[in-house]
Amino acid sequence: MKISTTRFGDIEVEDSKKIIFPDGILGFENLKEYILIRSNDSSVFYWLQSIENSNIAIACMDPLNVCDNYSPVIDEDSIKELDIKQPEKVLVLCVVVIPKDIMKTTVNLAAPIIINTTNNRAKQIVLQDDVYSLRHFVFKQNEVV
Amino acid sequence: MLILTRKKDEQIIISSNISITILEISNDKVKIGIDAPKDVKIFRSELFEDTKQTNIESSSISIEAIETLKKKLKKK
Repeated sequence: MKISTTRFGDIEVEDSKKIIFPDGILGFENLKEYILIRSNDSSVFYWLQSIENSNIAIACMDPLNVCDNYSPVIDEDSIKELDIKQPEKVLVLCVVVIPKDIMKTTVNLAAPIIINTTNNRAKQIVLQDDVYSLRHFVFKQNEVV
Repeated sequence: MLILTRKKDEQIIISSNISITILEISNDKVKIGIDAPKDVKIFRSELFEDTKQTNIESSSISIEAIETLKKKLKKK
């Protein structure tokens, strides 16, 4: 099927590539279908482009790029909901926020997006543990680039 | 809403398998300890609202902003 997007123009999407968020994503509870667009082949950045709303693309990144030992605990209910059988087939992404001052860019490590790549079912999990920040700075603050 | 008054080190029991202990009271902060079965989910409620906010902010990011960010990260 062909979908139209504000950022990427018209794109052809195979049904098998659709990522389903059965509960939607916080803030976009009504949007359940997305496609994952990697910013480029080797990039740590991804877009979750809504299939149902051309304007909505959530910017995400591989959290390991900003937090070396990131290892969120996925609760049993979510493992069941997403039917996760092979943990190594799970893609973990975190939502990026870029404010006006780009040096204050943050990543939400407290609520990762978990995609089971074997069935393309996904969910944003709000972690119970307090260890990860909701607005984790990508750049060391007071660092000059 | 049921309202109870508790002192430091006092507890509240909910349906026999959840216990809440007031560990510390200082100025305008209360430290609470919760013992509950593993399948009971416990969150700070603002986490949901704040995550919703970051999702909404993220959804309006432009391709250009991500490209600029990539360049800055390369320089890091």
